Amino acid sequence: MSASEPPRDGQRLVRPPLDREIDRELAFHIEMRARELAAYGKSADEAERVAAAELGDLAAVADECRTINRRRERQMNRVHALSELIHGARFALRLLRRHPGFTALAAITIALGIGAATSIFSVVDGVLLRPLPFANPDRLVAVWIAQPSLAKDPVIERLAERTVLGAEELAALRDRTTAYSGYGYWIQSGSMLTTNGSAEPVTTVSASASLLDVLGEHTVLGRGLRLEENVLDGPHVALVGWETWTSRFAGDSGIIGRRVDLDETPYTIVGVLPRGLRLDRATPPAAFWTPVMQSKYEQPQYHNRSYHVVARLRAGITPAAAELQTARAFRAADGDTTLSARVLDWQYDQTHEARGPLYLLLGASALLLLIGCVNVAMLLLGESASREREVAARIALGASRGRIVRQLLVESTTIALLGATLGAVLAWTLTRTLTSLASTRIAGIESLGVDVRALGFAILCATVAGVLFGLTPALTLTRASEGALMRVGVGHSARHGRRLQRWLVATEVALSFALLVGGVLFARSLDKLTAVDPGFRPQHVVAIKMVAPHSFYRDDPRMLAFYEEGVRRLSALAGVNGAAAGQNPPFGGGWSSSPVTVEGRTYEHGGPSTDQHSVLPGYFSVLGVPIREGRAFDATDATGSELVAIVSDAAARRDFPNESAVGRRVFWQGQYRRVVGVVGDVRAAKLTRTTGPAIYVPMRQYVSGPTTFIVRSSLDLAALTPALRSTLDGIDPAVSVSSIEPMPALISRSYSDERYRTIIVGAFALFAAMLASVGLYGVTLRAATRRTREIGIRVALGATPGRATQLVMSDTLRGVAAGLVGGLAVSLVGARALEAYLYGVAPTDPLTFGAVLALLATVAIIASGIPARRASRANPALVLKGD
Amino acid sequence: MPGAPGSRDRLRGTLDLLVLKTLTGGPRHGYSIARWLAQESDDTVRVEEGSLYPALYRLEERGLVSSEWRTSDGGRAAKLYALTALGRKHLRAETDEWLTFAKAVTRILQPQS
Repeated sequence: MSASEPPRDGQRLVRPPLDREIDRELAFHIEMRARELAAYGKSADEAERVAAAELGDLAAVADECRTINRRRERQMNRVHALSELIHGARFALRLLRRHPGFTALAAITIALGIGAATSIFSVVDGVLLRPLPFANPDRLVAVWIAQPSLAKDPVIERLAERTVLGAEELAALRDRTTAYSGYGYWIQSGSMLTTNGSAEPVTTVSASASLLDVLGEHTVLGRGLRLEENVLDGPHVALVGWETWTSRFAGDSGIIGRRVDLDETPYTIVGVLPRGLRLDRATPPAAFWTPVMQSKYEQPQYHNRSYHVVARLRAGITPAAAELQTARAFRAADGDTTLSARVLDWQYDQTHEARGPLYLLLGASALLLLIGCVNVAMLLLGESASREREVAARIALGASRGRIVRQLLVESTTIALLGATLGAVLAWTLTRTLTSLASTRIAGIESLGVDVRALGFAILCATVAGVLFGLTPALTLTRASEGALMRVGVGHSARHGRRLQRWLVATEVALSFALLVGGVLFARSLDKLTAVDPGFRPQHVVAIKMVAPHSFYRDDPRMLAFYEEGVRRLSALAGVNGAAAGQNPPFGGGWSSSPVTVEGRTYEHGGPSTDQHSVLPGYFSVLGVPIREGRAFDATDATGSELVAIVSDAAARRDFPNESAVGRRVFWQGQYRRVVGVVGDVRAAKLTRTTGPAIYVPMRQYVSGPTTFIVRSSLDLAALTPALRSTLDGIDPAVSVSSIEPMPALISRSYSDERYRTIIVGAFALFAAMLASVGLYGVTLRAATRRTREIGIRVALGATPGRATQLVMSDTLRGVAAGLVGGLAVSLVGARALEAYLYGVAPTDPLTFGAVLALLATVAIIASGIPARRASRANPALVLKGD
Repeated sequence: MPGAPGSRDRLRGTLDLLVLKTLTGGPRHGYSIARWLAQESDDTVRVEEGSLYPALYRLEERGLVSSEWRTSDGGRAAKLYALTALGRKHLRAETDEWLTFAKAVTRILQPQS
């Protein structure tokens, strides 16, 4: 159509630009109206003015219409984008269905990465990120005494940072601080609950009246504890935990006023605690709360430090400021200038031990996911070679590069989401395993599961992963394909792609290297750890813990009689090779210490603290602790005979560095004792830590707190347990067996964290190695396919199959070599972060690095060698006929 | 003034209804819609012409009318509006409702003589 020809009526025209449309429309309106008015005899100017006036405020009308138009436009764009997305996803699914092997491999790879990352994330989220279930939890802080001067003492160094408060410090909090709007304190303990004559242990909390208020919680039934109940011999009232109320009392609303017998003392239930109320994420809700400060030993004159404290910060006060003020208050109250205070966010305080290891695991899982992404990117890149022509055709047909990239990204994201779905299922299973594997020390872990937040995380991971591994091939493909349509044969524009391929191979190998180094380092560390000599022979030893009411432990003769009779009966059992009893045997979790001084020496601060154990004869021989010097205890070490003690190697070294300890006298618990023997050091809590000095005294001369039976027997524990239980249960009606555990299990529990880490990182490393081998196999296979013709020609021209194999492998192996070098460098630096978690192995352990290097190199050669060899064996005649 | 938004809505609804009605005979441009409304109602219904265009745009947004730029009136470019299937349905339903309403109001207001 030429421009001069006037358009006929009704002809379709191009729409004017969106924002100009209404102006044109209004101009048309005015013109038409003016023409009409002019026909009635108005002048042209006048007619136009009237026509415009009839329309009212032109600018306002135009604005309103523009707004509507833009809104409509946006809406349409959204619909358009959505339909493009759906179209893209449909296209992607069709394509993926056509390559089921590729799809499955890619999806599984991503599923592994996302599954691992999601399950670790749900643990991290539940333990570290989610706030405590109290009102304004960020204002809640834990208050501890800090005693920096103790950090050097190996026995009680744990008290340097966190010591529980005593009555003096509580008074100081009340009278000398203004940082808190309130504080509550408690003692976590256990009691014997007697119902119908049978006793069983339950967890109890002796709580201050203020504790519930500080937490912002209320009893669901009845009332809370009252201030006037927190006094010596105050009224025996109790709150029952929601869980105990529902399970033991069937949620009976008539519970208020009921009587329960705790430690042979009647208590009246006055209220029911809210559901799931726990003062520490790691421990289940207590069965009962009783008023604190009611016992003699809690009175200020006993100077007992036993209270955990949680306080609520006033608005605008930081924990640091509160800490400063509190430290001053403690120093002023106790007159001890070495005292300090530790005021820490309550959630942090409960989880600080788990923090480092958990972030470590999250990092490892991120590494695995990244490896998965690189792997799929390689697979996609390989796949993209075969799509070059399709993409070129689409570009030639007018599809913009952006559109094609979008389409390819939709494809990769579809794979990723497919993987995420699988991964979510995997994560669900994995999280169960993780939580069951984890030690109970990770606070709150038992209540974890994969939830909406974790699923959101998985989807986020999938989208990022999809873009991440889709972007490289997409950009390469669109760049390579410009003009590729005209070329005949397989696109050799893939030179760029090949270089990228090498980079991806190198990245994957390097990342796998790092993860493998981590895994192997942990495994070697765990190996060293389990090989540590604990200082006694744990095999065939079982530890039997008892439960009894407080009255039993306050009755020394009754206790001694019980344990002597117990040992006598246990020794008589068939299959038992020896039995003894002692306070705080190794790995039992118990611990108590007191100062020891040497006769004739003066000390500044009352003497260095020493682990104390009150034991019955046979304790050392049953445990297998070697006697270094002197003798063990025997039946003659009793009341009436000379007070004696046995010290550990470490104690002997500390107190008698250049002489024999045997025959010397030490001052302990207000009495002089003659040292009759020196025994080997025993690792008592952790295999990683050498134990501090210890002193052993005969139980017949000094009866202490809860004591554990130890039995050596070559019989199977399961066979032995009923006999052990029935033997001990009949001696004193108030005392019953609480647990029977083999010593090796107790030791193994002490390094459950280390084992847990090793299993997880090891599994990740294994996955990584698998992914790397699959990736390398895939890449080489692609390379081989692409070069089939070339190889055929070379073989036809006389190249040996070996030479042809080399040719195919060379590309992959160059990437692998770069990756190994990169991985080595990165790991040498990165492994330092693991130092705190390693035992007996350096983060730069040459053996580890050598092993990983050898392993990855072997895997790479095998994974790329198989397809390369196959390609080189191809029949040249057949190959040349093809294509 | 209580009830004001409701009556305002009814007015706007009425304008929409009338506009849709004008399009039953075929596509028209905005000016012709304004003219037709004025003529058909013997100038009783003086549509505020300024509000006609936003009404048209809104109807288009709701999918009740579609628009197209075409030549008309001897080669002038004009934007023509046409009823969509949805618009036709809407018009039918609204018309019924309006008539019922009007009948009821009329019955009440009619002097019983």
